[in-house]
Amino acid sequence: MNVTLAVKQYISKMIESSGPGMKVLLMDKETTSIVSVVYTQSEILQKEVYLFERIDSQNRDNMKHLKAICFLRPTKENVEHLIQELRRPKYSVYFIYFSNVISKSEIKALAEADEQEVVAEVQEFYGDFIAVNPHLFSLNLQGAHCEFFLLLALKKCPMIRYQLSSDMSKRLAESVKQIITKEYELFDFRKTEVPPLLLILDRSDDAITPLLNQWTYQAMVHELLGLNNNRIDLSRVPGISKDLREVVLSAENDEFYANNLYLNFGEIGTNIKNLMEDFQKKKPKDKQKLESISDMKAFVDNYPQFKKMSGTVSKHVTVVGELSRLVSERQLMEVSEVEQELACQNDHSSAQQNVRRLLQNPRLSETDAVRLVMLYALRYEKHSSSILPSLMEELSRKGVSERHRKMVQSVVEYGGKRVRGSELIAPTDAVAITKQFFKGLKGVENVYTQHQPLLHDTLDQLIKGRLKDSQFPYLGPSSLRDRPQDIIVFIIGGATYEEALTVYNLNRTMPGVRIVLGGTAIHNTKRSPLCLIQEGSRLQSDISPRMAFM
Amino acid sequence: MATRRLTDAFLLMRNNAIQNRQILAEQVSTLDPRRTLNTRSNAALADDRMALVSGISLDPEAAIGVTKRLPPKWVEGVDEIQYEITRIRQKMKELASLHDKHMNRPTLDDSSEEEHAIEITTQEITQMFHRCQRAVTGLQTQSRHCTEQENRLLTNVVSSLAQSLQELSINFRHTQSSYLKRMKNREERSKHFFDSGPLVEEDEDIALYDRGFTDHQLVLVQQNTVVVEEREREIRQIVQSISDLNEIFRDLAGMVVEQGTVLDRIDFNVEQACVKTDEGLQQLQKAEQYQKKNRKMLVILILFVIVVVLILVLFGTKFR
Repeated sequence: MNVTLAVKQYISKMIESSGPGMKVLLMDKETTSIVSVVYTQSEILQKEVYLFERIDSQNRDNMKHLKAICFLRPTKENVEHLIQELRRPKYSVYFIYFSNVISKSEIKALAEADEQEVVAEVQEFYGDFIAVNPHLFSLNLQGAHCEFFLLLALKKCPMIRYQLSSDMSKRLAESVKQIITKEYELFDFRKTEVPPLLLILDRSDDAITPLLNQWTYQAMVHELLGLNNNRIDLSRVPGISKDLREVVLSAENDEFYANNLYLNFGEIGTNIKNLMEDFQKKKPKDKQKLESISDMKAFVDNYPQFKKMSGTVSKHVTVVGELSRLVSERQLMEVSEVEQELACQNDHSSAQQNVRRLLQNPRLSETDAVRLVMLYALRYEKHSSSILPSLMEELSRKGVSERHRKMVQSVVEYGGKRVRGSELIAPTDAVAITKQFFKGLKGVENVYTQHQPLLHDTLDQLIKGRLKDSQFPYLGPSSLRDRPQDIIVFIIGGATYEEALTVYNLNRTMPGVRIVLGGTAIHNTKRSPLCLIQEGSRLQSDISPRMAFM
Repeated sequence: MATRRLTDAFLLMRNNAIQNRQILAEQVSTLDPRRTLNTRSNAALADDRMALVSGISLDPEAAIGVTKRLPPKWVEGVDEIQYEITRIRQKMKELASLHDKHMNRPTLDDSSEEEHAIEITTQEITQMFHRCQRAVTGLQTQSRHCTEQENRLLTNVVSSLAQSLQELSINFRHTQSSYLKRMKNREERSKHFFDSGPLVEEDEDIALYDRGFTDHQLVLVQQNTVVVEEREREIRQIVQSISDLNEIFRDLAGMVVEQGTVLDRIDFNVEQACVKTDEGLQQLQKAEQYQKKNRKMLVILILFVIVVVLILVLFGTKFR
């Protein structure tokens, strides 16, 4: 199951079915991101789409020699804009594709507005999500609507399991079921032997994972620099050259990135060094004069490769350089060590000492300090000798703002023991305790990456067919008898790149199973404290009835 | 890939809407008090009129929109260039098959027709490349006569055409250079074979052996020289065409956007377009303000002059 491919297929179908001729692509804000993540401009230009406009941009010129392909989300504003556009059409023919289900009344309004009869096609193409990686999608939502049409895009009609402890996931599961039953003719796919499974989880069950520092390339970049639809804003980096103020990191077009997406920081360093050496070899030495024709020929032959490679190399060198600078400036190695200890080990006294020690370090940034205290709060909230109050005092002494300090309290409310369904921290059953004991004996390979997100255990149990029904019940009477083969996981409240890494590894190591992960957004530390808490409360009150053709 | 086609429902609703509009228009026209004469004929007239014009639209701008505007002239240029590009592709396939045929034939036959054909095709292709390149540069200069949005459209079209041309020229160059290499290899091998004779004269046995072949060898050498010279000529031509292509390539490279950078992102370009339109709007507003200020200043100046004149008149009458 490849979500990037699904979106790409939708878009190529849209473009091809409008026939030859010059075309313009009309999009809205969200669909622009959806398209940009899977197609580069030069690829789309080859398909004769020569202009890209937003439906809400004013003062567009009349260009009757162009055909218009509209790819929009069926919101009220878009329908309004479309009505105005159809009343005074600027292009010769309109092919309209909605990324979600649209109501009959809105189609009627459009039909009435189409006085010049310029509309040739109206269809629903369910590509309403952003395909970040082939197995990771996001809805990039900051708000309440959880509309995801991934199931239709992947042609799956699944069984649904949801997390019992979370109200929201239950409601979401029920709405998904409702819509599947209502639109049964759309879901009439070829029945596979083992039906696919949709697993709905809640972020509050594992509030620790978004708070941890990451060390694999994609996750680290998102954590420290911020990946927004595969774009990174480097304008604040000291000494940055003009070309590199904003860069694109996309596994589709960048081979080095695709190979190093999931490798950790040390391995990336080695690979960059190799890349540089390769590049130096290809570079024409200045002494070498291009005299003979064969020299010239060879140089010009290799010039496009050379140019592309030089761009890639400088981009990655800059990004990795900036990452190293931030790591040393914020002393992230030490901080991460303590974080991992807090998340994985069970030793309160040493954890207490380490946290205190770090808090007293003047070079620790505000975000990191708050994060450490939040982790401590989540981990040892019910511990008898919890030093949380004194840590909060330390924070205020450091000058941390009131808003950040409040977040510690909110995060405990959001993801604390009361709310959690699964056993995140202290395993109580014998098997888990034995496992931890052996892990302690073996020692850890890499102290910075010892944490496994809760998702790993959940998926592991699910694949082996051992996921407890009491915690993750099925929706509906039927249940899966065999082991699942296609699993779609959706985390309300957002996913993280660490969990994407887990899914990637599971996909690789277990060949019979294909897993796709998605969330309402992809988190990093800056986003999670604020967003989780705000989103959590908003999501609880306002889940839209129009939902889930995932 | 699941989709749902709503076109039929849409068309049905649209036809309904059109009919409703016509009926409404009819009713409006029949209720009009001015039309007191034969109402039935008027109704028929209204019907015909409605049938011709799609609905009464009180919006004059919409009426203008009905008449199709002609596309700008450069669009034809684009079609021509695309046609040329397909022709170049065909020619290149022909050339590749000619190359292969030539390579596999025995070399001693004087098959100058094939070589001639190859020469001609190569020249044709080079000419077509030159023409396309000139056309594409010509297109770019047209950008002065366009509005800002048409300019963007034109830039995108030019960059996509330039990219296809660049890819084609790279392919062409590869085919040329591989052909050249094969020719060179063959020439070297044959040279080696035929040159090794006269060089080895030291050993007596070999000299004996050699003497025996001398006459035969002379004939061979003569034949060979002719063949070799022909080969050299061919090779020089190929090299020439490659260096021609170099120039084309350099020019085209300037027009193509680098892949993998942020300039190649659709959302980035859409944002830039929005920013530019906003900036344009701001400029217009600023200009408007300046104009307003201008007028105010003018009025103030005139009033001031009038006041001065009146004062002078006052003083003048006082002193009289």
